Amino acid sequence: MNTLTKRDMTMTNLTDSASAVQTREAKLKVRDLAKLYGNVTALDHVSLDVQEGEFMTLLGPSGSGKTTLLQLISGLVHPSTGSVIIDGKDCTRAPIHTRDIGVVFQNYALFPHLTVSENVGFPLLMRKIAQKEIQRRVNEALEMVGLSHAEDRFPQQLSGGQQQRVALARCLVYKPAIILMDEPLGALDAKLRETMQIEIKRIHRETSTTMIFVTHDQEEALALSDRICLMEDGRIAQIGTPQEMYDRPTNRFTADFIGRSTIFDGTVKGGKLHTALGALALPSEARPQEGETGALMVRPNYMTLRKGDLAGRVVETVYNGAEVRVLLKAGDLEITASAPARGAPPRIGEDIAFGWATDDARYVRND
Amino acid sequence: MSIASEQVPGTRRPARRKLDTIFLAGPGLLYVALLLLVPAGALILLSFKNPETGQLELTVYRDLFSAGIYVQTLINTFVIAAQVTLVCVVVGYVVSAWLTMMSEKRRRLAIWLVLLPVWVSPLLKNFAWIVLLARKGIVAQMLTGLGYEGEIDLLFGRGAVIFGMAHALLPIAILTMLPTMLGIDRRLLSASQTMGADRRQAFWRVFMPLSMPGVTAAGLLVFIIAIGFFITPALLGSPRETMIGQLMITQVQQFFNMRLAGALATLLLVVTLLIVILYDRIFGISSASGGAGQRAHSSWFRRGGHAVLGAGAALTEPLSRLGLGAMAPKAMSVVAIVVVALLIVPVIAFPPMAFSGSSFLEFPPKSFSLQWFERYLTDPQWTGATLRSVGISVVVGLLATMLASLAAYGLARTKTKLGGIAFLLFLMPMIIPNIVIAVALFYIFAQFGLVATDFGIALGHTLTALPIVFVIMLLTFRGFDWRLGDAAATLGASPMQRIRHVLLPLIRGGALSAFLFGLLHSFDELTIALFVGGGVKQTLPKKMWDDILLSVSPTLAAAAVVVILLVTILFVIAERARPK
Amino acid sequence: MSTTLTRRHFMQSTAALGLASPMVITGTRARAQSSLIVGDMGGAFYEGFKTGFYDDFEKDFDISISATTMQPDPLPQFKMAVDTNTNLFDVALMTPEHMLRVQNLDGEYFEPLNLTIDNPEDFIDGNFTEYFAGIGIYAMIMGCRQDSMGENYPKTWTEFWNTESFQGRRGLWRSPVTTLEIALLADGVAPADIYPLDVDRAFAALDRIRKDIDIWWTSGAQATQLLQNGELDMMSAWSTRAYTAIASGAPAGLTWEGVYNIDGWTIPKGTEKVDLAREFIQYTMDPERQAKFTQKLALGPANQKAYDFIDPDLAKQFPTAPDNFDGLILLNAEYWAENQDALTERFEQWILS
Repeated sequence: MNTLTKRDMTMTNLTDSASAVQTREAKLKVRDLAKLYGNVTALDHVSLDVQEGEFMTLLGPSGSGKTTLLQLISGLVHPSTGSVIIDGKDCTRAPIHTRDIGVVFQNYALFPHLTVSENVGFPLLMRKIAQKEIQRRVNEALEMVGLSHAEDRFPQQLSGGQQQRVALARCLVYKPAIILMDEPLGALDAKLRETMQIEIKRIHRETSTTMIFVTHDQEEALALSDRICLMEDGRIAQIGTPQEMYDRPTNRFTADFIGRSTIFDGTVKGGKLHTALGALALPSEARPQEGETGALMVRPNYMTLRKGDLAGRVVETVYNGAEVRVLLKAGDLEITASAPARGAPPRIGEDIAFGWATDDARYVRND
Repeated sequence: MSIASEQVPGTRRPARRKLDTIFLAGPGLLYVALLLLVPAGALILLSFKNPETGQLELTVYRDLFSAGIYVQTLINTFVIAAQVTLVCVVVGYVVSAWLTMMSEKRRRLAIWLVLLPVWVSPLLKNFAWIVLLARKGIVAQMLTGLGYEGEIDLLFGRGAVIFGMAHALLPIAILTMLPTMLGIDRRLLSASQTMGADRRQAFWRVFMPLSMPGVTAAGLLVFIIAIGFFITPALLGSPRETMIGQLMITQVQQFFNMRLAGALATLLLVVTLLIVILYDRIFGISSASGGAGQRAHSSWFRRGGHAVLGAGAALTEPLSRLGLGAMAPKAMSVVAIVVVALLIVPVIAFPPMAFSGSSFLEFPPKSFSLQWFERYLTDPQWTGATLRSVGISVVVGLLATMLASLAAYGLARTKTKLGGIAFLLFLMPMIIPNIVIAVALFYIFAQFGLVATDFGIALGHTLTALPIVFVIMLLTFRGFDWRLGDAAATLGASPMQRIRHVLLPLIRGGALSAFLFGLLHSFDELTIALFVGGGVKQTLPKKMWDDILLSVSPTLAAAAVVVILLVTILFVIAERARPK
Repeated sequence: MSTTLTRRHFMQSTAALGLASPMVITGTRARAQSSLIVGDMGGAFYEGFKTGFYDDFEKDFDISISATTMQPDPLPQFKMAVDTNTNLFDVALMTPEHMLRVQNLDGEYFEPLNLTIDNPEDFIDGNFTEYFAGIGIYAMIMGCRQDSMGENYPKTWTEFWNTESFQGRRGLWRSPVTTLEIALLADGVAPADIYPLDVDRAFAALDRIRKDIDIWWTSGAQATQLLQNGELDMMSAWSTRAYTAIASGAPAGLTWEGVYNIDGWTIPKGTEKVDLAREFIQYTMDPERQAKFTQKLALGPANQKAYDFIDPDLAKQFPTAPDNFDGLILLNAEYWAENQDALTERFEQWILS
């Protein structure tokens, strides 16, 4: 019993002092982590650093390995190779309960047999903290998520958003080194999602806890993250701030996955990209090698309509309030552009010219 | 077809007041009322009524309480039932938890091994133990061979009775607990571990409390069934293990003292119902119905429960610090495998005994012979009893399935609150000890000439088969997606077509399974057959019971082998058809 | 036991029985006259009576006999069969005590037998009443395992009560009937003075041995089993049951001190084949035929003349063999018909407390 308490205390101290000093030693280091299920590679030798206080999002389509990575960090799954280092301590083989992490599960995993305050107090009970102290910290955590009034209710008497808050409070209450969140907003409706996003952002700011957030929703990732780790097929496609990911994708997958865009695949010849629509000029920053394959990415808002060298036909227009999204067809290619909602939007069936300023496009090399 | 004409026979007619489907439960409820409530009421009345003057009096009860034997036996009965319940719940818990740990495929196999002995009557299983555990039997020989010295006295005592009864009731406990345990979200355990709980704490603080609804339901069910036991105490017990069922049989069959039997039944019924009500107050038995109704307990009860579990967690801490925690799952597996093996042993002990050349039941047999099968197949008493049992059980299966299907359909679709009461009524035959039902039926049937008739036995069996058949059908209908019917209606299917082409094909498996379980129940039933058969209409279990009392020849084992074979086949079919 | 022979015979006769059995599906009245249903106690009783009576009667009268097994306590079954007019048996094996208990109920349950017995002196006392004809004698006596007891086994009930000198696992019948008599014998009451029972004295005697009774056996089959497999070293047992264990090779010996009872035929009221039933009962009174059943059944023939046809060595096994019979007293049917309910209640209470 003594040993346990002592360990807990040192951990708490570590966390406290670390946040105070703001060292740049990475809070979490993932090194060469891989997970195989039979012949299937769920995670393919991934390395990643997450800094103290950072909000890192693991983004990717389903099956990209983001949840596996999260499970490996939390210890719910053991890696085939590689290591997980939390606060400078190798935790690769450590049992889950000794890792000092918090997990907000996709379905919240609230204990149905415990009340809200008992749920939140559970991790403190496991740490053998005095009942009085538990009560104090539970109240604090519930206050933070705005659920003080619901402490005696059972989880199933709460709405989805409230359950979400309880799950969050249950992690916050014991100040774990890292909070992991596995698609926590997936079950909420659009409106509530947005509210909770803001809530999470606020809590992150107020507590400056290191958070790792898993989602497949790129808009959510852009909205929340300090940095995004985009994953594809068990590997990291790109890591960067939301702006970097949006504006400077380094590969075709990132370009395609983050935000809306039109992508023109082709081969570089004589300083131009030869595509199905002909030779397209490359932005000045691009430094392609002759003969390589690559792609040009153009965001819809950079696409100009009724102005440009290319021609297409309008196949669909989608009105979404602020603007009209216009889908064009040029040859076999589908092009997404946007036009202001006011004025005269293109009509379906209209043959239309389109183009973009050369430097508004981004060039990405194919791997 | 025009749209207008399509709307007239449409499914939704909110304007006209439609009869709620609950009325479909009518025939079944009437059946339960006529064959359970009325007979039980009549029996209770009988115990109070002076046969000559017709006045209500308490003389029988005065006699009953002044002769200490009945009170003593009643106390005995409840104590033994409680002990058996405790064993079943604890051992069953380990086995159930073990079952939840395995892969779906292996679990299914293991569940079959647990389930199969349920349908081999306690009579046979207990008798197998008499042979196996005898003073000079195989177990004693093995113990002696292992160097055990001293008197080996396994049979005819409290230990043997509790073992035999727990052995018979354990599968029921396991099956009641398992769904709750399987329903526990594994992620909750992982979640608790991320919050700092080790495996031991995760078990005590999360798994255990979440499995409690199953545990309480199993406890009650086992307790009630145990109260009605008379076979095991008679076969494996000493006089100290006499249970109330034995006395009721003596009173009715030997002394024709219906009034005293009625008084005993009344007493048993009252105490049982009191226990059920008390139990419901404390634990809530809504979970027994399979509904996941989370009941808000009084806070003192919750706190008490959590304190107990916390104590469990604290008490096991030294073990886990010694590194024994890692061994817990392994130890659990070992215990569970031994238990499952024990469940099966008496079932597989019969074939060797049946092929014995000896004229006694012995294990292992010393010579081989087919004579006992020959005798079984050629003795008109055995074949007659077998055919009678087959005939009755088929009728019971059909009748019970019909009544239960109608009712289950009605209850699954009802919008009234009466559904809960109807549900409870259908479970009544399970809540009232079967010995009480048997005596009550005997009393009522005697007045209508139904005693000593096959029909009377079938009527009685249908009553006691109703709960299980009803629950299976209810699950079947609850599992049916009623929108499919609406979908079919929008595609132009008439109500009859919807039933024929959508409903029936989808519930066929459940109905078959319900029928077979009803059939198996009847095929296996002794208590009602004992009373209502009146010694004149011998069913197979009754014939076996007589044989055990009268001659104990390997013919019994041969019959048992046939029964086990038959039951196994039916059981496998029923299990395959059962809605999952 | 020569299984091959019996089995063949058995097969032949049961093939016929199967067809005629009213239990199964047939049971039509057309065939009824040609068959007779006899209720015996099954097991060795069936084997013995088949050898002694059934097979020959079938041949001599050109009818088929189907045997059915009476219940351990035939009373409720018998009553029910007559009450419901179910033709369960045309002839039923009972004891005088059973009969009296049935007769104590309201209603008529028996047909008079109308026997003609030429030489009643050949039969033991109390063998006949208007409704009852004794066929054989059995007794509650003492059985001991010779393998575990050796030569030092109790030779009287008094010695059985002596738990110091005679150690081993003991068993008694869980019933006041015969057990109270045995207790009085053990306590030194002279056989002639047993009835009416000094119940208090009997229970006092039982008190002394209670803690040394390992098993209170409840059914005849159980008694056989207990003696046969050596679960008990010494016990009270019905002579017929005990003999079954001995015949199967169990190393056990019998001590002939105890209480005897009579098994005999009755005809349930209302059977349609009452004449044939009477015919059958008359037929079984023959000494030579009674001698024949003893090949398979250790029931002492009621007709003492039967011993003229029995191998003297075999005769020693039977209660009515002169040496054995001297130690036995007749169970007082009237006493038990009168007192069984109350004494059973008292006995059960005693055994539970």
